[in-house]
Amino acid sequence: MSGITAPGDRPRRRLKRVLAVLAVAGPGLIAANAGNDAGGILTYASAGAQFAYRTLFLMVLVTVALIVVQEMCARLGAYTHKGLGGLIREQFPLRASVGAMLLLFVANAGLTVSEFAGIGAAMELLGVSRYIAVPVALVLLWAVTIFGNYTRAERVAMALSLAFVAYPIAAIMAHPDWRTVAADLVAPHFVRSAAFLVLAVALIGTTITPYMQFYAASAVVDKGIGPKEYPAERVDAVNGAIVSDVVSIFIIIATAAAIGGTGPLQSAHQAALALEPAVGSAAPTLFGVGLLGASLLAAAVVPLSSSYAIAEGLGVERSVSDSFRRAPFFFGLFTLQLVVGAAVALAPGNLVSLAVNMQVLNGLITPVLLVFILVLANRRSVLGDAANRPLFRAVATLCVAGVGALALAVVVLTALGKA
Amino acid sequence: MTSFALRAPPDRLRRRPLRRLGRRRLPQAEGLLSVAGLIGAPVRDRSGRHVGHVVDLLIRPDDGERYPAVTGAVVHTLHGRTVVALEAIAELLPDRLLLRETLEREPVHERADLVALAHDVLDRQIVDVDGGDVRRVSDLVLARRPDGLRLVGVDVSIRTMLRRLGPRSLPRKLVPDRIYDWSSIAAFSARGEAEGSSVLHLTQAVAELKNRGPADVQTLLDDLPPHERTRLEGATTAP
Repeated sequence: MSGITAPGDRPRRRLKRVLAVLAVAGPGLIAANAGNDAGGILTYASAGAQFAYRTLFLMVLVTVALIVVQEMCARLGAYTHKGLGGLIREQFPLRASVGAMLLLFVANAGLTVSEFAGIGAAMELLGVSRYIAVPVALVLLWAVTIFGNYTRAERVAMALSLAFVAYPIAAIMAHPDWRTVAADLVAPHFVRSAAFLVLAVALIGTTITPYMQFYAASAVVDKGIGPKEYPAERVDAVNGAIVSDVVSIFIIIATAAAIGGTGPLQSAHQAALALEPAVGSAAPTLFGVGLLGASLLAAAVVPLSSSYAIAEGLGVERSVSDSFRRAPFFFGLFTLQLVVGAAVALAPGNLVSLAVNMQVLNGLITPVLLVFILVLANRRSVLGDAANRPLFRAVATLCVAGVGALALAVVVLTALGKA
Repeated sequence: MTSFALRAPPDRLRRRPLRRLGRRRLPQAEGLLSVAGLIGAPVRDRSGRHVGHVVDLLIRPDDGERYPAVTGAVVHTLHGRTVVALEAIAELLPDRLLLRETLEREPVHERADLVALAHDVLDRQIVDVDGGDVRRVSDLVLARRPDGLRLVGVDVSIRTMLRRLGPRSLPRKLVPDRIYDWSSIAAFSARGEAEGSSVLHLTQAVAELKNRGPADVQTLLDDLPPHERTRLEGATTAP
């Protein structure tokens, strides 16, 4: 950690550095920062706290896989004008597609749990009990989504989550050992332990999260992007994946520099220490505000996204602009996820480990849903000439197999009682 | 994957103004067959020997009839997929297909005039012009008529879909109020490379849209793919 109480010209120098970082990183970084949810932030912070820089190489591999997967999803959306929920229902046997919908529901309900855990942890950092914060957030999120001005609420939450722009700055100002960082980025430094493996699956689950794949395809359809506009969209998809993972890597570096090697992350307060080099004693408050914004944002978007995909797959009404009576299944599913998320987050226990465990759950489900996406993107009957070419197919298959192997290893270790 | 698509899969099926088949129009007669129930059913030849299972049923939608006739089946055998013409089928029962003779292999190839019911229609989305309903095809209903086996209805009930998840032995009950008359299906709109072929169907849809109230039109537009939405919006706002 670098000193933050240094006198003299320190603040001006700090401001210069902040501006320099922002100029280089640009608006993309800010957008990606806003896209990080509670589960992601707490999992990356956990990785930094427990294994310092050793997960960095894994993050590079995960980024490659994320690029491949996000590109396939964007392409499927652009060329078919359909979301993944609809495509899976149309292209796979009914039982398989209902299975996929169920898995998506479980994964997203898990994510919603971690968002409520994030809300609880953030409010506790700001001095409010989670037993008050979580129920209030539940009612607020539900009411705003169904009756209120969702877009305005989304902007407020996004603005709050911009607090995490402080991460890259903190990572640089903490003066980490850049030689170690560079070495861990380019060469594998895996730790032979079950805990490392479980955390690797959590990192995969939170980075290549199923919700993002479904969201990416639907967003392309919503934007009205077709095959003609797709080349530009492909650049966006790849850039988005890279920038978002650069932010994640900065979270790991900042946390590793502050509390690296101190064991599993115990509390949000501990995670907030990572921001101290940038903002000093305001770190817990800033972290709390950022975590609250990120959690609120995702706590509405994640259940909406899964309700949308599942309703699309089943063929029932689905739109936020519909009334509850017109789209009872859509809103019922949305409400169910919110209630389950809030209820689990209220159960006694450590909120940080709950959030990370939910990312492990996502990491176990990810490879199964990736197989569906891979098969769809390989099919010429779905994408015509835009189907995966042999080389891309090989790389994508390797990515899915790698993610699947790690998930399988965790399942086996858990079954043997070693994880 | 080797596709047995006989034509580009339709993006969506678009219905003309609602005409649901009531109980009177679609009695629960013995002559009705469920396509979803037939898919996967065993195929036997004249000697009773098991030769494969049903993969799909074929119709020719533009045959000038209100209800198109089934023209054949796609059967999966040990040696791959083959098309069985209607003449070679002795009987199509709710749970099996019986052949007149032994199976003669006919290669599956693309035919623009045929539609494969399981591949092209089952589980696809229907956009309702008048109600703005969005449904998926849970099943297709065939009726035995003197002039052959014809496609008469589209079952869109969730209950039918859930029943398909259960074991095959579960009885398949038709629920009349969730079955749409096949003749009310206005158009297939193909996607991708075959998109050009959807223009004619869209023109029909536009003509219908003009008679609709603005609220209904908006609901329908919300459900269309953006590229079609733009075209339809232009058409409906034109004087």
